Amino acid sequence: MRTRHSLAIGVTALAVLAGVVPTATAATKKPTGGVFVDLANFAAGEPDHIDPGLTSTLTGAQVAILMYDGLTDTDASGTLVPASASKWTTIDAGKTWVFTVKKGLKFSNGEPVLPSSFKRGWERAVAPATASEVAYHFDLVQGKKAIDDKTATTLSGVVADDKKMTITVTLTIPFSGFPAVASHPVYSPVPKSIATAGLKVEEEGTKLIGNGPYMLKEQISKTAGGSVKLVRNPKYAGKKGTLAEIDFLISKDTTAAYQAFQSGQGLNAAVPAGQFKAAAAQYGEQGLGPVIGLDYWAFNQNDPVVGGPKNVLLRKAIIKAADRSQVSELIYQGQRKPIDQMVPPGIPNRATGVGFGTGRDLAGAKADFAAWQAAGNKLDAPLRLSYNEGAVWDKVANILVANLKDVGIDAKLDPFPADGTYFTKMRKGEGQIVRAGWFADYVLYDNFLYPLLHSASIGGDNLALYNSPKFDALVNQARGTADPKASAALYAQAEKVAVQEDAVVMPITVRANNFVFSPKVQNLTITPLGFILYQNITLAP
Amino acid sequence: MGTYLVKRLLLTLFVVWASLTLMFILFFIMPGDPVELKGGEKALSESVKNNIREKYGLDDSVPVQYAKYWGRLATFDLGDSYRNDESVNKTLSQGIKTSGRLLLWGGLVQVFGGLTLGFIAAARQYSLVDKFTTVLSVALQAVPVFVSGLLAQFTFGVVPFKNNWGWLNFNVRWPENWYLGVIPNGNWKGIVLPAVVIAVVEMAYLARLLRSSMLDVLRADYLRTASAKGLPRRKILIKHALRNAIIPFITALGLTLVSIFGIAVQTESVFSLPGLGSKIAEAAIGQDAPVVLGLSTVVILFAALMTLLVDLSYGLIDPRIRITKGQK
Repeated sequence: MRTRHSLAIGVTALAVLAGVVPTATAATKKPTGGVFVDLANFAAGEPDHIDPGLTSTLTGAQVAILMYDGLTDTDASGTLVPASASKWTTIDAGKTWVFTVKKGLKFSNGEPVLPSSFKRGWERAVAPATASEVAYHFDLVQGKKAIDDKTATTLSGVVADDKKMTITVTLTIPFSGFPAVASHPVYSPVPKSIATAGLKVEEEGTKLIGNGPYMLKEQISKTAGGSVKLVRNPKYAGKKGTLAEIDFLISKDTTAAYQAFQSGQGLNAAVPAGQFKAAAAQYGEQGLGPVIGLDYWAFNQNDPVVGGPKNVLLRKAIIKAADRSQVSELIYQGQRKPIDQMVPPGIPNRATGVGFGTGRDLAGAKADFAAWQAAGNKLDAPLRLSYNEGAVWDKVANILVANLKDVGIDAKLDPFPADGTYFTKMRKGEGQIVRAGWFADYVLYDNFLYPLLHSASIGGDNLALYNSPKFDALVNQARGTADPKASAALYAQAEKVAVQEDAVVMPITVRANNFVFSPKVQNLTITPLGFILYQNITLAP
Repeated sequence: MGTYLVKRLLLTLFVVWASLTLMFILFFIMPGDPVELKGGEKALSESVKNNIREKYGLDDSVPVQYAKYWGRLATFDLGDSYRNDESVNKTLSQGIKTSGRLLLWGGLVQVFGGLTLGFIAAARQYSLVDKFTTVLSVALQAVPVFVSGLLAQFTFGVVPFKNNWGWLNFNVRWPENWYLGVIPNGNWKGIVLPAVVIAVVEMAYLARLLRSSMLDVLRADYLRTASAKGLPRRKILIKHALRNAIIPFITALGLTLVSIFGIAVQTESVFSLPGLGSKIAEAAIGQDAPVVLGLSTVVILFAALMTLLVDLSYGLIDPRIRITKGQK
């Protein structure tokens, strides 16, 4: 009897406390503009960095771009627009670029933003002690190699003139896309104070000082359960951010973060795999659109079975046999759309028709395979679809194996352990048909063709190990062509050579955002690179 | 007793050294390269790879790295994470607080729940409560924590929010402020689900253990005699049966408090808590040696100390196990 009595008292006390006692959060007065609690950005894990000189992830860059303004930026339509630079021009057909920095810009500590602030930031990013994973974005800048070789400590190709407010950048080759490259967060300026602050400034919130619309509110914790809190930068000279505060909560598990969103803990979330349709139906598709990125499979050109000119018909048969719609629907519930070329939609002046079409061409596949066999070729063993374990790639590979079977091509799964060695092994040519993917660093044609297919990228991200003088020549020519349309036409020709003539890659799907937002979120814009423009968001009461 | 204590402490230190050395060696035997892991989908240039190796001392030979590791440890510097440069000391201090609070509240639920359920089940053997406890114990032990965690979040978070039952929504953030370091100051609801989820698995085991242990004791002759002499049932159960049956419960409790770290890995992941368990697991997958070794030092120390404390507590609870002078 007494036990029951105690239990009843306990339950009643719990219910009373639950209903009556206000939480600290509820009691806190919200500042003007509102607090945006974000459960999407760091839903799947902890950030590497938010320091623009160091971050190599989209999630880290999302925070960095709110804290820093580079010289140039990409707007919601993917167009290159001025940021800290008022204008830019090339004085010798793309080899030397002069950026004029706007006057009156300030860091959040009040220090003026000068051309030398940019040079300081760039040299910090490329310094060997920084060991930045994104320092390669400066590879075309004169003097970067000398720093890599440790024969210099400054970028000889960068001249900052604080009186004229110009920064002149000399490249090793003419490159018309450089202003777009300069929109990458690694090209951010840093104040003088950072030079003495060491490399762990992001841990000490007050020292990571930027010139963007937001600044760190307090010391951050990069561990799950922690958060990165930003508040408006009072010294920001541009359009002030609408939100008073943005709290990026760090989670470890996308499903748990999504449930936290559904329990009212935040205003957005990343949708866990398999729930896209339900999420779209409940919250709308605004955050589920495409980004400039793709999933594809590369044919190892050094492999005797699928590589080289003699196997081009086999590769074409495989590409035509692939049912991209099946992958799109079964794996991504239609969220990632089929694609047949390497350059996804969103790149300015992008040409279409350089692939074999997004639909399945079973008859064409059979004809190509028969022609390849008629030339005296045969498959002695099943083809290997090489991929890294731990994601959905086994499911994609399974679909492709079934697709190939319809053509009479025997293929099998070739999984590699998820221990971080997969891409190294692929770069060494251990794969046969290699799973790969790419997110754009900047809105530029070149960003898909040079790193993924140019011979200079073999050993890097050219996982097809593709080496075509014809392709290389077209890309090199496009890089040096100042006129955007003429340059794009050359890139399109190059893409056609690799995708259609040589058939060295099999594009499958366009990557997409996986965000959902509370109905309270208004004026939402997401750039083609997948960045949410938090500074424009307003919150309904 | 003094000699015994010194011997046990020395043994504990040896266990800590051997465990960490083994982990250090394993880290170098494991396939994969932490530098390559940093690159992920995008390739790192050779110069960047070299810079990273130099920055973290990975270009040193293994013995040099080992010596440097112990050198740092001697000055309580656990190094920086390869992944995000965050100080392991900072991660540790944050992790200890969170894991400590989780283990404390989870431990309390576990002890209270285990004792209550086990006691009731033994006191009312074959009753509905006993059968329910047995079924519940098996069910709770069988359900993985990530399932029970997500289920709890859905039931006490998603459903109440959807239906505007705010009073039932326990899926709120872990408290940021604490009284005396362990009592939540606001957002108290945030500790309920993680504490219950972490507790239930071992709680079920403890309840079953106490039940069987108590039933053994209750069948003993001296208790039958006590009952025949008219000693009240309550006194028999609490003063005699429970007290004598509690030794295996305490032994198991010590071990479960260590094994609860394993459960904490999943609980912390599901509830996004910045604890030690999940951090070690994540760091191990990412081959983040400073984090794995640094945090493991504390876990190993904790495990060794818990074992030591449990051994010492036997003597306090049961006079028959006390070590006297001259005993080895």
